[in-house]
Amino acid sequence: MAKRPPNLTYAVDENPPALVSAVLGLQHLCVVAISFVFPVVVIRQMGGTHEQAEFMVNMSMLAAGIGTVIQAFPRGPIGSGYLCPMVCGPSYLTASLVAAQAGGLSLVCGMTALSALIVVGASRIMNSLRVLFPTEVVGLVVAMVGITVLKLSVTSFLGLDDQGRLTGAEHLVVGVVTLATICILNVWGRGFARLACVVIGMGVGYIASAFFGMFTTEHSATVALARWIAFPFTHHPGFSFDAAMIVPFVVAAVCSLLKNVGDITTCQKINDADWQRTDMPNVSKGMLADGLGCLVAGLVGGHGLSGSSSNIGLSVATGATSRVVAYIAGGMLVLMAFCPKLSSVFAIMPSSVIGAVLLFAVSFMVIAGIEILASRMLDARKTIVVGLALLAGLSVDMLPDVVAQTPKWAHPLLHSSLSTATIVVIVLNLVFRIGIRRRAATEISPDDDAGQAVFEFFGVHGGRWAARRDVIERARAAGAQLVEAIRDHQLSDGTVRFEAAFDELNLAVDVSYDGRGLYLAERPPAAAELLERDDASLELAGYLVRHHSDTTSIECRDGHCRIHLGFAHA
Amino acid sequence: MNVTTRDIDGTSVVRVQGRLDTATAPSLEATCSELIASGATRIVIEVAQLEYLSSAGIRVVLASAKRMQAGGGRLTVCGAQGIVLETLQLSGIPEIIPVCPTLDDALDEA
Repeated sequence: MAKRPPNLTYAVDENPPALVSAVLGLQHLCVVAISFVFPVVVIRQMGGTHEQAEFMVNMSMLAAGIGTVIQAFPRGPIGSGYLCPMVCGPSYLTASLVAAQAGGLSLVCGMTALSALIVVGASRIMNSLRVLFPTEVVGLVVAMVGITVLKLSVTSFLGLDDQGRLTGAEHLVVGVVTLATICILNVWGRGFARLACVVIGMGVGYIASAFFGMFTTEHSATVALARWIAFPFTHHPGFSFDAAMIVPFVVAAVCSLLKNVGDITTCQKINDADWQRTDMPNVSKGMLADGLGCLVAGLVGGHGLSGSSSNIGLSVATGATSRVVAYIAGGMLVLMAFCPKLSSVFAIMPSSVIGAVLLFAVSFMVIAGIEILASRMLDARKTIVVGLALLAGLSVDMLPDVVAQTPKWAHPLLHSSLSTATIVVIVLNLVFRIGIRRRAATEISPDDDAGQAVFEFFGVHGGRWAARRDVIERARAAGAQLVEAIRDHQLSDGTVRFEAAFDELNLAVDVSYDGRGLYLAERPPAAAELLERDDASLELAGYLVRHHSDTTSIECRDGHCRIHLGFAHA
Repeated sequence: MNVTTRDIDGTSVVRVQGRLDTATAPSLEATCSELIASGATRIVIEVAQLEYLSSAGIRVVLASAKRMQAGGGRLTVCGAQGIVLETLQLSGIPEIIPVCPTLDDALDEA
């Protein structure tokens, strides 16, 4: 049972008043709106029309609304139950750009739906996949999601042409004004101005663009002629698939998965004052909602979706994590999807404004990745894994001529710095796991102080293995309680063998002895019984051992018992 | 384990540091017994610096609380964090003994 954090004004299970909910929902909508830049970028890069951009933005809104609502479902197999709105995922941008240029919107739709199915499938086996995604791998991939769109961001921001030449000082001025507005409001702004800094900055960018005459009559007509209400499904481009696009979209799905684990974990942390470790079943349900939201996007013709870290930050800043806000923000997105007038405003967005917004979002993404990386001590093995993958990714952007000379079959792997870095970091991580498992054992005799022996054991080896403090704390509590119960309740009068194996993902403890087994109770005895029944104390010991551990098993045969305690470490 | 006792406005505050398990529980039990025998009616056990609490430690805390209640006194636990707080909650202790987040809260409660 989660403990309500005192700093929250409206916790996840609480219902704010209707007006407050509406304002909070609108604020989240403003943050989500930033990401509608991505479908506009995709359409621009493939040389599409305003109508296509409008359609893709509308459908992205629809899917994001549905995804945001199902993510907040508190019960059932789908949804983490948290306020974690869905946005057009930066992870899907590069893959969508490549697909749009190779096969148009139909290929983007087909491949987005396919990658969403990968996310849905992975959500069912997330626990088994932990070996692929240790923290440092997640950190690098999150940073690379930002780095990979850097070239596009700077090109748009500066208004460069295909040859990399400046097309006019006005592009640069609009970009600088937009970015400066966003940054000033974000750093020094207060209240709504700070929360809506990007939307305000975009507005200022539009005004500056109009001042410099960057809008044509065609742009004005696009907005003026757009209807307030419409059902744009007839514009759907259909679906197509291309085997060459599988790698970029699998990479996008993997990046989205990694980011989603971090997002849901953050939601768990901010909604539980007693949070200690990631609730993986809850992450799986959240990931399923994430995948289904993205699947809807692919099916209706939107951009690939993922959870929004920025919106989670907004929840923390406002102290409102109520899931009611998710329902309202999601509902607003669905309504907006049927308002082409609004989406046409996004469709005519000047490239310098797009560049400024991208640079702002990308800077947060890159720093978020670096922060995740820095949260772990990087030994030689991890440094090689992360460092080589980072350099491999950057090389793709820095040496495009070399990439062009590689065999055709390698192009899907090398099409972006993100896909290259992701593949290299996952492969190197698996290779360098060889020989990673470390073991230690000790024997605790009947004369030893059991608790002291277990504490000393973990004091020495926990530090040597650089294992997480909270995991060691639980392992030594479970281990000490187990050995103490064996001694106090005469389950064995001989030596207890205490073994531990650590491989960065799991800490496994095996306790073996000659004697009787310990019942690992699923429920504790009533506290009042502890003084009345001697066996109640033994029941409590078994219950505590079970609860402090992530997994337990016991095997007793011919008077010899072996109790296994497992602790997730990643 | 290290057990120290001080008096704050008529309340006996027992600070427990380290591990509270089979090996160390008798020390806390003896301290509480002495305080009860000397007529203490309000005892606060401060566990902010306790690293580990076992079922044996819980039993001693419960037994001391029961003796206090029998004499019309009151025992409170405060400052529990992390695995110690989790152990107290799993054992159902807060249903029988007041468990406060800080020493100040416990002194108000006592």
